[in-house]
Amino acid sequence: MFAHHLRTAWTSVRRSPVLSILIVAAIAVGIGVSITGLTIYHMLARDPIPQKSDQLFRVQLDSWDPDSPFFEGGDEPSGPPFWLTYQDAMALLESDIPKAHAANYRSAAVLESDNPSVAPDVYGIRATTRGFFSMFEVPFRYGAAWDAAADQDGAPVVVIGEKINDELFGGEDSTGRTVRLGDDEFRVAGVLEHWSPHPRFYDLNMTTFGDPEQLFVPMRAATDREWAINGNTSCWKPESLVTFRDFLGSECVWVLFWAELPDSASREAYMTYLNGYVDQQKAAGRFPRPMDNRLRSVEEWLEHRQVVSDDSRVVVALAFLFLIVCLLNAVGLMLAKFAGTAPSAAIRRALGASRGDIVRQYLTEVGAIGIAGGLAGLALAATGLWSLRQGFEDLANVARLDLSMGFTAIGLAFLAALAAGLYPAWRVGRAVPVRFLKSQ
Amino acid sequence: MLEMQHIGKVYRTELVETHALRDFSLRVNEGDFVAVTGPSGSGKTTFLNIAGLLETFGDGTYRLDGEDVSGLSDKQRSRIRNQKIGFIFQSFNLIPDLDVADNVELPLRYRRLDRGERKARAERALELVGLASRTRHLPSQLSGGQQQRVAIARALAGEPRLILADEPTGNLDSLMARQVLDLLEEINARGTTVIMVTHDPDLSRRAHRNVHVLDGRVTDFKPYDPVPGGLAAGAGA
Amino acid sequence: MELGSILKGMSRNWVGPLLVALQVAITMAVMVNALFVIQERREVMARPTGVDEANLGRTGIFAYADDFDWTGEIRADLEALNNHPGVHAAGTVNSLPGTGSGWSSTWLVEENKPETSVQSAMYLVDEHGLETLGLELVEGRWFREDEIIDVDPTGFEGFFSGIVLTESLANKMFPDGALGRMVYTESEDQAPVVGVVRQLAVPWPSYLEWEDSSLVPGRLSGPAIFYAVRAEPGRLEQVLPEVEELLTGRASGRTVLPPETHREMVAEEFTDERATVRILFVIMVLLVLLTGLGIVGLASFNVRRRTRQIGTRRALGATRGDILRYFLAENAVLTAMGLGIGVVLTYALNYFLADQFNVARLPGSWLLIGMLALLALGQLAVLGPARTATRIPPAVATRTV
Ligand SMILES: Nc1ncnc2c1ncn2[C@@H]1O[C@H](COP(=O)(O)OP(=O)(O)O)[C@@H](O)[C@H]1O
Ligand SMILES: [Mg+2]
Repeated sequence: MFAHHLRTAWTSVRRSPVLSILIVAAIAVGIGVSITGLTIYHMLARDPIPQKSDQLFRVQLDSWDPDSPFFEGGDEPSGPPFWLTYQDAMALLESDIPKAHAANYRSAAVLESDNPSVAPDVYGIRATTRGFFSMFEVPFRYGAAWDAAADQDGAPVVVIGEKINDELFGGEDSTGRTVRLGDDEFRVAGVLEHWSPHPRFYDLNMTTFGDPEQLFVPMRAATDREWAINGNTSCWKPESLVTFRDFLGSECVWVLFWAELPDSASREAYMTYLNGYVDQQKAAGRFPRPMDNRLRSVEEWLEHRQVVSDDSRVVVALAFLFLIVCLLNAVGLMLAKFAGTAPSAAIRRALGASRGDIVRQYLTEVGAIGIAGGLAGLALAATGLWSLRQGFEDLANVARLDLSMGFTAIGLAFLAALAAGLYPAWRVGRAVPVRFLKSQ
Repeated sequence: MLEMQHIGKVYRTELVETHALRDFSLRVNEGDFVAVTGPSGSGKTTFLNIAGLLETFGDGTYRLDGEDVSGLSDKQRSRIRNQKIGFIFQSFNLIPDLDVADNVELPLRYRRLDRGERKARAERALELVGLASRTRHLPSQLSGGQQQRVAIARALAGEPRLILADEPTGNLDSLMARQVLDLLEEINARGTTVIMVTHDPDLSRRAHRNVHVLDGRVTDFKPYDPVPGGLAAGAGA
Repeated sequence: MELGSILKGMSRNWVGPLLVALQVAITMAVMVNALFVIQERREVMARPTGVDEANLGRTGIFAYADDFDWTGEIRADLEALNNHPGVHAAGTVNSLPGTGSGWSSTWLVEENKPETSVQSAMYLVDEHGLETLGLELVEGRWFREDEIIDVDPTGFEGFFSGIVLTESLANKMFPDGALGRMVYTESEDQAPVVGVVRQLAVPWPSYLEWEDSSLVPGRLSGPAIFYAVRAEPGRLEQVLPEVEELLTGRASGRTVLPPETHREMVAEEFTDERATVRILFVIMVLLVLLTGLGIVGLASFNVRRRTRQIGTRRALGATRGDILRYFLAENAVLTAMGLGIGVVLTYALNYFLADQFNVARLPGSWLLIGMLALLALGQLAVLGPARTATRIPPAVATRTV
């Protein structure tokens, strides 16, 4: 029966090609626009590390000024600062409660290589402790992260991304070879596979959807060289800051700190540990605010930092209203289309088709039209997103369709078409057969 | 009332040219009741359309109520239709969305009459056709005969000097047809000129005068008329 | 004219009109709200930054050689830049307004009184800054070369010999005259206000008051620094590549940061707003087209369905004008109904957007303009089918069975 419905649907589509094309177009435009809006939202809202996003926690200690809020934007004016002081970050690294943890910051340096065809250039650098790699499941192609000793003594070792490895070493296993960073030789400890979590949850300071750094060095190696902080640095306490040493010992917050806590027991233990640490510091005259330490999961952190912009939500809301208008249009077109086929439906009724048969027949046609509209809409969305990528460099990693959005588009179009076709189909199905037969 | 001389009307389609009327001449006096007969396709409707200013014509002259109408603008023609002519169609042509009263009032609206005047005239016309009690019915809720009576009331509401009826009984059974004709006779008796196209010899016999159209021309020869009296009546006018 | 009969006609065939009325309603709600959001975002983006935006660009150097002569090379760079034809002026800066990153600083109006603190953006500029940025000095003086000190964000010695405030910040801190007054820091440094400039925006579009900026005579102590380059009017695009080449060739042991125009940098910072504006604009245009087409479709359908009826009306004496007016009036009634629902929807949508997201309350005038616009759209859309209707010959009444 379904095959018969499909065949009849195809005949019907061919009989009124203009109306059919208009219906497909109406659905396609609606899907194109709403999927474009939804894709951006989806990419902003997506979980960058789904396999363990609930086990990774951003650590916040409230070391801030008792007299003024840390940040006045956002929904929570006076929560703890986003970053830690250097001294607190170093202290927390002593804990062995987390399965892994990492203190890190973003810096930059000029990279030189022995390869004369590669001119010296400025690169972003992630200065971090080695827990970063295991915690975020950063994949290695060659070699591995540096050893624990390098974290301690700041040995000049570096993990490089695949892109740099391709450029400098032609994609070969470059472990053991050296690159010059800021006039110092760094030994390559490992080479990464392609790794690009979006949003770049571990550091939302700069462009949220930028690619990860291509160079990773031990945090100690960076601070020893007084490499600048390419991120936010916030200070509140009147302190004399003359040397970099002064800065490291200050109340300025700038270090990003993540911990991997696989279960609630370890989370509770770690929180107890953090509170104990802060109590200890309070006794020493630091942490003037009431205790307010936070462990935010990846999801909570993205939420807290408002990665999904209000504007993207506004766009989704308006895009869906647009879809509704397209569907109202489609309903009108379907009514016109089905009115034309009512006599043949009447003949079917006279030949013994039930009302349900007729409605199913029309819904088959509508569903097929919906899927066609979905495919066309997907193409429109792809075009729309492409034009956004062309216009906005920062959207290169955001305005991209993925498989799930593809399925969403088709499914949405199918359901939308069925919803739009329900009334027209029911109206034809309801029509008394005699009326149409007489008028033939 | 109406005088046509040597009227010609040609319909051109991509394929053929049809001479619907050629050298068509006819005079109808004020107060006449004329039945127009003729085989299908002979040009009766075309004549009626031209007489009623629904269509323009090619050659010849046409004076309606003493006025040469050939050079009139669309707007002027609309006005004359609205004020001097009442149409009755074979398929009634009531506006399905409008109820009986609104249908009857329609020509009065186009005459820009005020509401009270419209209502009064429509009521009178509906009374005349015996449908005063059905003013709020929709056309679809009436029988064919009733619909045609509403259409007649609509044609009468504007108190036209000339009624043009194109096979007004064509869609009605014979009893209803007779009723409609009674009505037309009554209207004519009050001084309104009536021109009616019909196939039915019984009906055409009741007119004062018969005009036979054949192949776009007025002719006195009526080969199909089984009743010789009809010819006599036609020739006698 | 025929309001009653129009309404009756609609109530007999209500589905088509209802669909179009709903379309009109949603279109109004989306159009007005989208336009409003677009307008809001554009206003934010259109705020002047106070610098000579059209002619300002930025490049810079990142030094890596151990023996790089920081002070000497910068001086030589600036001399070369300032002598380059097409360059109006060039100087060192730590950041530029509206570009998204920079420094902020807390100043105290009264010494040791944290309650008198004021937050502001802090720009490090040199003696060329006034000319380079194209600022307007309304009071006092600009910094001299000997005042420029080396500054490291993570700590430096000494303090600035003077500070320049924007008018907005000066009025906030010192309502009865800023020039010569002392500005204090929480770490007990102080500097006198030596000048006031008309306007200079902060680096962050949505943080701090837009014009609360201060300028101090300082220069980053390495390894990277930005050069602001102000070109002669209209010559920026030509000058920037020349500047890059000039700097690249001038010294070794450093790389030159790729030059960007100020406008590009601001545009990039406003990516979200611009993308939102663009998407909403496309949605709006498509929506208006779609609803226009919906109206055309319904009207054409009606004209076809009513051919005989229209012929009959013509036979009964309706002029072409009457027919045209009938369709226009019918559309006006239909649109008006849609707009009735539309007003409610528009307000509801705005209420929702304002409540949930960062959108302001809609002024009533927008509603009125939206209604007029859609009424005009409706009339325009129906004009085509209505004119087709006027061309229906009256003879249709006798010819169609
Ligand atoms: N609009 C038209 N286009 C082409 N030919 C037409 C048109 N209207 C009528 N005719 C032709 O003109 C001739 C006269 O038609 P008509 O006046 O309707 O005949 P009657 O009413 O006597 O049956 C017929 O041959 C008909 O086919
Ligand atoms: Mg005829």
